[in-house]
Amino acid sequence: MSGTDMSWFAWWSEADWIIRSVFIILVLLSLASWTMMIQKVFQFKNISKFERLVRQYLLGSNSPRTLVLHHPVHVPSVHLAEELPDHAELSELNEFAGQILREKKLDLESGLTLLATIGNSAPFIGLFGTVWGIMHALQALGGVEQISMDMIAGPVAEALVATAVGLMAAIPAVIGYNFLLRKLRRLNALIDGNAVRIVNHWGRGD
Amino acid sequence: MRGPLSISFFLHLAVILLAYFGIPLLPDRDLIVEPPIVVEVVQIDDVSNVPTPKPVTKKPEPPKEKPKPPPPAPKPQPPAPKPEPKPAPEPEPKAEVVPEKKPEPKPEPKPEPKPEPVKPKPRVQPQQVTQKPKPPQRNDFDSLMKDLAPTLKETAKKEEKEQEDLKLDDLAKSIQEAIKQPSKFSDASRPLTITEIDALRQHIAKCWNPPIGAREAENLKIEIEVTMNPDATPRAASIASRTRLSDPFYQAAAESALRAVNNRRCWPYPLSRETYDQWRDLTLIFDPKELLGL
Repeated sequence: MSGTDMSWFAWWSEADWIIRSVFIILVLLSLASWTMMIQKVFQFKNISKFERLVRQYLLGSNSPRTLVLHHPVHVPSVHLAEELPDHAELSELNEFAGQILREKKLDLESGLTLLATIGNSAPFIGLFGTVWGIMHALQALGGVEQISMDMIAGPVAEALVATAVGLMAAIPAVIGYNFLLRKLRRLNALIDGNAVRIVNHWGRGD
Repeated sequence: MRGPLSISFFLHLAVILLAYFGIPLLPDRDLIVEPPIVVEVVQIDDVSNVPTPKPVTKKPEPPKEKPKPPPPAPKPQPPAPKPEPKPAPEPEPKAEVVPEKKPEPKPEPKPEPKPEPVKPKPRVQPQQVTQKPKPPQRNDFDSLMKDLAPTLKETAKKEEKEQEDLKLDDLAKSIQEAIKQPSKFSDASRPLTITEIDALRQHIAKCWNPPIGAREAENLKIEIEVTMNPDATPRAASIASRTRLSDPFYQAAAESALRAVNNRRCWPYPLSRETYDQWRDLTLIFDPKELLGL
């Protein structure tokens, strides 16, 4: 690695296919995690905005039966108001609402598992590439009598790229996962509150 | 889903493009082609072989350098004679004091010749001694002043330019000397090793990129101790003259010399395996004097 060869992607031409594929996989994982994070942030923002509006609407002593007319159906509590059967016991309604909300919450959770998986596994994938690269570098040194720093430095630096990319994919994924998990918990509380209000209205037969 | 995907795609693309184009461009790595510099070689093991060429190579160098320093010296001198006439009146009152005690005819001839030859000599000599450290300081200051106030010191600029021209001349001459020297001394008692040493000298000089702005470069003599492998590559190299490493300029110069030895592009050295015993341990003396023409 002398002078001009220090550019960032000089290692690519020298790397073997395992390191290259590790690099490509990690870039794809990073792409997926960022896509998921951006999508989830938008989704959570959108739904929590509408859930707040629903809460205001219900606190203003409006009937939940007219909720569907004023709010989009993809919001969980609006969906709940739409799906709830008209004539039922309160215990039945509770069970029904719980089931519907469980489905909706699982929908909201989707993708977070991907982020958690990327955050956990990307460093190990990168580490695998690095170990593989170092293994090959050391194997290449096998028959050499005079070992110089350059014979080790080049391949090891090349192998460490894999770890670097793994960490670059993992760190945003972990941070994003924790951030989104917190957002999701607040959103769930909001949804639960709205659901209780809707079911109570329903039970009273308003 | 398509929106977030494209956002993150362009984000990644931006990061990759920045890494590929932006970051390598930040450091400017223009290499300066350096002229060959004389590197002296001293062998520890085989003392009898080297000392014969060593004094011979050293002797032609200093006389050619010593005549050269005077040209820069007279230029600092012109300002010197100007202040001299001012102190000159000082001795006269002393001379006047003396005649008061002694008869008039004797003091008049004596003080006049004495102050003129005696005083310029001691003054010129200390000036030459003291001005050697001063010029680099002045140059530094002037170069600063150039940037800050270009019109301030026109005379100083002229002097600098002349000195630079002289330095360039000296540099060219020293390069020619360096090229000629090996051929001169290839006829000594043991031609094999001597040509090897000369070849090694030129070879290492090519690899050396000494610090250019070093202060008091004439004193920056760096000794590098090298232990060689049989295949003419250095096994271990260290700075032998460690005592001066506290001086940052010296440290920079020493590290540049160490880099020259450790530069893989210069391996292996042009040494034959038969004479390995003679060059197993080498002491390389790096001397930036020749490059800077001081």
